[in-house]
Amino acid sequence: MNNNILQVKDLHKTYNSGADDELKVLQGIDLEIKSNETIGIVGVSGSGKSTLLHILASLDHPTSGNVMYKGIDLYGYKDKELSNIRNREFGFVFQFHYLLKELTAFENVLLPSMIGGSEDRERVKYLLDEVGMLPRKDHYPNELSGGELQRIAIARALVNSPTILFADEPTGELDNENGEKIFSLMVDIVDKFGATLVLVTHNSGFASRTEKKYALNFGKLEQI
Amino acid sequence: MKFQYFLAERFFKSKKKGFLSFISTISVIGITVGVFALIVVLSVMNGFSTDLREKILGTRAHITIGSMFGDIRDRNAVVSDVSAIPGITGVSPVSSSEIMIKSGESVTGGIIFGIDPSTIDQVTDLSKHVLAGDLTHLKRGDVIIGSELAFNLSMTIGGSLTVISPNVKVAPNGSLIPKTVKLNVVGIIKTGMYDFDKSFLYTTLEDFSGLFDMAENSCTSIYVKVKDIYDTKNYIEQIVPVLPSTLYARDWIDMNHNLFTALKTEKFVLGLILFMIILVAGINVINTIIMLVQEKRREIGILRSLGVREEGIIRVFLLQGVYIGGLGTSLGAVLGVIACALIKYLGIRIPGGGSVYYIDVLPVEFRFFPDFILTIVFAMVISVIFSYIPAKWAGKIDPIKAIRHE
Repeated sequence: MNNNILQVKDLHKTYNSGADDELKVLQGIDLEIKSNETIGIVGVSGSGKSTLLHILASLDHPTSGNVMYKGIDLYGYKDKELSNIRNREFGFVFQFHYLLKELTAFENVLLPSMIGGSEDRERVKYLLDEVGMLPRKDHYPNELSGGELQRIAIARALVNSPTILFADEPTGELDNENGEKIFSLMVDIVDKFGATLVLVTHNSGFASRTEKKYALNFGKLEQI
Repeated sequence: MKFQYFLAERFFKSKKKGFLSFISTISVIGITVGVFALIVVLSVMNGFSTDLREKILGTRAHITIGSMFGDIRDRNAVVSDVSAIPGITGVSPVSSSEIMIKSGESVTGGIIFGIDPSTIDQVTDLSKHVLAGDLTHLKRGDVIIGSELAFNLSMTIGGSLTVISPNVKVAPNGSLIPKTVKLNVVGIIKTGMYDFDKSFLYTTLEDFSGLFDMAENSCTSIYVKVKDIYDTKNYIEQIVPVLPSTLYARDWIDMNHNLFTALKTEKFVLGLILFMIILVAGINVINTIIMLVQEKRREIGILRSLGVREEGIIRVFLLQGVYIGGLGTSLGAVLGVIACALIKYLGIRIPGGGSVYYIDVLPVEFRFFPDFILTIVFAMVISVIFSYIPAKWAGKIDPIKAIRHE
């Protein structure tokens, strides 16, 4: 039985910065991600890891190729349907926390739920508790440390019970100790909620702790 | 709560510091000033128009019947026929003509009215304006004169003046002698219309007829008062058929057409200029929203990654414009209404009022509809339309570029 949740076929991404200046970032990527898997993609800075992640997460368009989500071409959807998928099925954790400074920790985590049309406040409390931030739920981002902010970003990514959690260098802004804590928390919590994790990192140590590990070199993806 | 309102409110309230807050405040103030000025100016213009109309209607008839050949010969018959028409509430014969007035060494021009004291109150409010004396008990040889005329002639009650008619008679030696009559001043009238008060005199129809050698039972016009002053055209249609063919009827609107058209035009032009203020304030709203969008680029990217649609982003920033417009409009409306109330109850005196102008104090008439409502609707529509332009741009921002943007 094919239980691929995400399937990538012959994916290309090219940036044109001038008439004769073509930058081929992704060159024929093929990838299959199964439900509840954890995937780690490593590569040096500028190798196109983030671009690949953004395309997988429907935030950026490929130049050519297909991204099939649950068997349907992700880029065949209209903006409205794609937005619904991003809200209900995908969760994002970026290198920087990107919390809204006008909202408290609680409100930041609640926001995806509000966007989806529901306000599951109990789940927000539960998640904040899970990431150890419930006592600081009424604090604004400027009152929290980098590690705390990233914990809240993880809770926000999981509030709508996503099928896939996309993490783009989630520990990139943190020191080693905090990075380790955040990574462990993310892996544990994804495992607990039964979500799929797609992690992009330049830290091969973190990537090696995922079930599948890939390396992105010169636009090509290889399993390692 | 819908997330768009939630976010818009937070973005709006969070701008506590910095240049953006200053620009937002300027936008709000701009709309406040525009709405405030528009409400006050339109109300004052309404006040002028109403005051003028009331003063004109207080001294003149709603409908005036006149003759194409000077005099109305059988005035009693016309009065009787017109009085029988339904909706006519008063009919009174009046004669008027330009004359010269002599008092001591002073000579000046004026307009004399011959009135029927028993019926004049049916058609005008002149009695209300009489400062001393009684218009309804005017007898032959009596005259009531305008307050400014009395001042110019240094005339008081009990004095007398000579009225010189343009009608002349030939003396035995062949020279032309103007007809004169001496009248006793028994009252002073002040209508509030400077031009009227400096030249009008009121005497009896009989004295007027004697001065101008008019036939008995004749007059120069017949004043008619009707129930509905804005339905005078309909009454004229009913009056004309009962009049002899040499007579005509005109209403107060026709007779003061230029004056009211000028007022209407003035109100329109002033309104247009003040609408421009709101329009300029609207451009400030565009700038504010553009700056806000620029500041929130990264947040826009995050919101898109969290599943907010293009329309959702547009709505968040459109609401910013609605808040700015709503706050500015509300403040302007409240201040405008308060200012109108203060102008009305404090009675702000116009410099030179009563002499240069026909009124002493600034008149104000607040009209909820259409002026107030239209001003608010216009200010809000401008705010929404002008916010939509940058809001639409915000909706088109590429989430990836926005997230990467520093």
